[in-house]
Amino acid sequence: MDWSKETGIKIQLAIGLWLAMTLISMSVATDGSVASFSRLTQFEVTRSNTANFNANESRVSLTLPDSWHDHQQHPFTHAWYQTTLVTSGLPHPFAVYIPRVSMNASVLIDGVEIGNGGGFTEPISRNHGRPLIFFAPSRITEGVDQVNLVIHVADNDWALGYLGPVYVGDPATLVSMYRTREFWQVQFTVALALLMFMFAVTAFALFARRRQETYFFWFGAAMLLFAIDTLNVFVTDIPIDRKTWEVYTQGVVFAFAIATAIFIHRFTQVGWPRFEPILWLLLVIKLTILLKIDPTWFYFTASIFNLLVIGYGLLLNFMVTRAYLKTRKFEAGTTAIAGTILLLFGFHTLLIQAGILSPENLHLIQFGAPCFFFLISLTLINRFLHALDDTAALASQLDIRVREKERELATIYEELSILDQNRALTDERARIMREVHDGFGGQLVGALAMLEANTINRVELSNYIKTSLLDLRVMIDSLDPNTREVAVALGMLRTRVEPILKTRNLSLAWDLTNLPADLELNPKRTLNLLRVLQELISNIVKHSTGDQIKLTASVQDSDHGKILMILLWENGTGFEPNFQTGKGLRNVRRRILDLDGEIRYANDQNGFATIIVIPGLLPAQ
Amino acid sequence: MNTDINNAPFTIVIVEDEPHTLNRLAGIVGSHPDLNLVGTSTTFMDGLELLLNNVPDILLTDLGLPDGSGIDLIREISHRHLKTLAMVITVFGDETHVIDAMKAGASGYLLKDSDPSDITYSISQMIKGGAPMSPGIAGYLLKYFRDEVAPKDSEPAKARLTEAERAILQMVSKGYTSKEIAEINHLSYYTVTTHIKNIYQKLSINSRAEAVMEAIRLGLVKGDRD
Repeated sequence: MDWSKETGIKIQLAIGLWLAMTLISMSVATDGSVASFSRLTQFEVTRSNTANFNANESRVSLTLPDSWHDHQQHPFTHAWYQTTLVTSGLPHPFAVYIPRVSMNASVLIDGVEIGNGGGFTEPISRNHGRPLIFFAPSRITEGVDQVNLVIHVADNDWALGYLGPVYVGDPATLVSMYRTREFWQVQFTVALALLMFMFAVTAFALFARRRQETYFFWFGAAMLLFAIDTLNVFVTDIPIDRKTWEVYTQGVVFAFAIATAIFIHRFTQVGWPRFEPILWLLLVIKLTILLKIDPTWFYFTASIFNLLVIGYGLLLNFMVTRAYLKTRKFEAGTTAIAGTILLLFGFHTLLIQAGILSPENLHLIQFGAPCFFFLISLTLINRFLHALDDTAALASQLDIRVREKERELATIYEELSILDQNRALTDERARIMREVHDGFGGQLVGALAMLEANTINRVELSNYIKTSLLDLRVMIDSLDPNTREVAVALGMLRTRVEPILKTRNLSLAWDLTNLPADLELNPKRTLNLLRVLQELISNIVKHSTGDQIKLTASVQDSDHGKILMILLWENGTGFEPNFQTGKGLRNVRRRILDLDGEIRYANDQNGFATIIVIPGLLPAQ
Repeated sequence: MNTDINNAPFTIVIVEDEPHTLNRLAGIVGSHPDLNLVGTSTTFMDGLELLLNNVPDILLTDLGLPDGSGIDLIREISHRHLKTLAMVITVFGDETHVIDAMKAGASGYLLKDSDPSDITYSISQMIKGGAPMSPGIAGYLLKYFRDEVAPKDSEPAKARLTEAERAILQMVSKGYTSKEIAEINHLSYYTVTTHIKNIYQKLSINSRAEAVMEAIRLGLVKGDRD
């Protein structure tokens, strides 16, 4: 999917939405004429610095809208706009609708106040961000041909007094107009501000997760400052003194501009980040100066600083646009579009504040900034989705690589397994070959030699074959998984040698009482042990002068784990072990070495004992 | 069955494909006054015919026959509920061969090269209710019954070892003879051999239960739940 293209379409849609919104708001701002009401613009005005209306004061005729308090020509804080209404042309009752006033207004009909927008003494209620509507009851116009309408407006030294055209007529129609304007000017703007606030929280949350992406922080900071500034417009009664409040609002607007500039630096990698401390220094200087000066020069001074930051904004936007044209980077493109909209709307608001455009116009900056943030949010979402795509692609590649490695590992494991098997097979073959050579192979060759030499001794031949069978059985027993336990292996050996002992009338006493059933040796070690015992018993059968054998097996703990101790005793005279000449005993010694064990012999008047010690017993599986 | 060996000769059939071994066994059995050799065979089919026609008291059979397995002959005895006691003839007496035969219903086993006196002694012990058990077989049985898990509802109940049987198996696995076990545990020799025979029967019962479960699993037989 081509996200750039899709997001581009979204941008166009956003711009379309913004234009539609602007057109609607502009049309609302002009409040087109409807037959059921009158738009009053011709008034006579009286100005004063006190709240007391003096009917004898000189009056001046003028046409609304009127900037009645501008610090230079009209340095007054109160004004009364008067006109005469002919009652026959009015509905009964009728409404008086004031779309825009700064800062507060009250309406009087024949000297009787029918409503006001709040307090007229300090702090004077601030209504420059909201329309006002008042209702004249029917009794006021009863029995008279005309009435005197007075609009009393007031502000203080910190404001620029303004009154737009006044509408008089049918209450239902004017309420409808009032609500439409109130929606766009108040409710919609408040909703946008709250939305900005939520976006800001989201951006801060993203920054908390990804500290290296500092542009999230500045994006959130810019949106938060904008939300604070927007909500300021609707604070009717300020909680602190007017000067501090004005300095605060100037600070918020300026900080919003700086945060936006820093965001653009970090987000697009365009601009002069080194200039950021200077911007903050400008803010400090601006606020310090504003705190020192009186209202006469307050807004002029503030405008100079604001122009500086707007100038940097224009420069930055130019640089971002140029960067986009060079690199065609999506971020730069969107930021350039969003920045242009913001600057245009800001410029529009600046023209209103400079008196070039009628103050009756809505301040488009209220919509421009959300539009800017909306476009940037789309870009951030786009970047996030790209990151997700990249992550998915990387995960997919990783998955493929893991599978490949798994296959490689499986192949290597299989090869190793085959090698292991081959080695085990070779080892096992060598072991069996040695067993065959040392054991029944030799017996069979002996039997064959006897047959071929035609010197057959039936008893000897039978013994050869019986010994061969015994060898085979002992070997098979050592490989049996059920005789892996030492106790079972010894038990099997007993059943194998018992018939041979019987032929010699040798009795075998068996004591495995102290040999736990759950200790094992591996098959190779088991066979070595059985072969050792088989050879020793075979020696007893061949050479012993006694008639009793006793085998005792037990387990003892040692520093090297559990060790097996086997005592083989016979009541004969025993024999002198000769490891050099006796083939059987040579094998015994070799096997004991293989077992890392020890073998000892002891002789006394009661008989002959062989003691075998084998380490390395394992717990049963 | 009348187990009084002194008064009633016991009929016996031998199935063994190696002619010299067969002749040796036939000679040993034939010369015993209490055993009546009614026939010998070197093949499965002839052995089966002998078994079904004569229904002997004792069947001595090799396992690897040219046209079949001695285990199938033993199964025929169980299947047809014949009175015959089966004894396997084996070279090694290893667990693999003997256990399969015992599971099929054999009562004992003989090593082919045993002395004549050992062969007739083993047969007479079997007739008296005894059963030989090597340490290797005991080791196998200890693991077999230890690994048994409680059967599920749909499964036939499986026999389990008593503590006495387990203790005897433990001693057999260490190489103690029945006589020694009886002495050490202050039991009669007969009690020990009866325990051993019971253990074999439990093995056979469980083996049949396992066969039924396997058949149910393969869909050959319908289980209770179906």
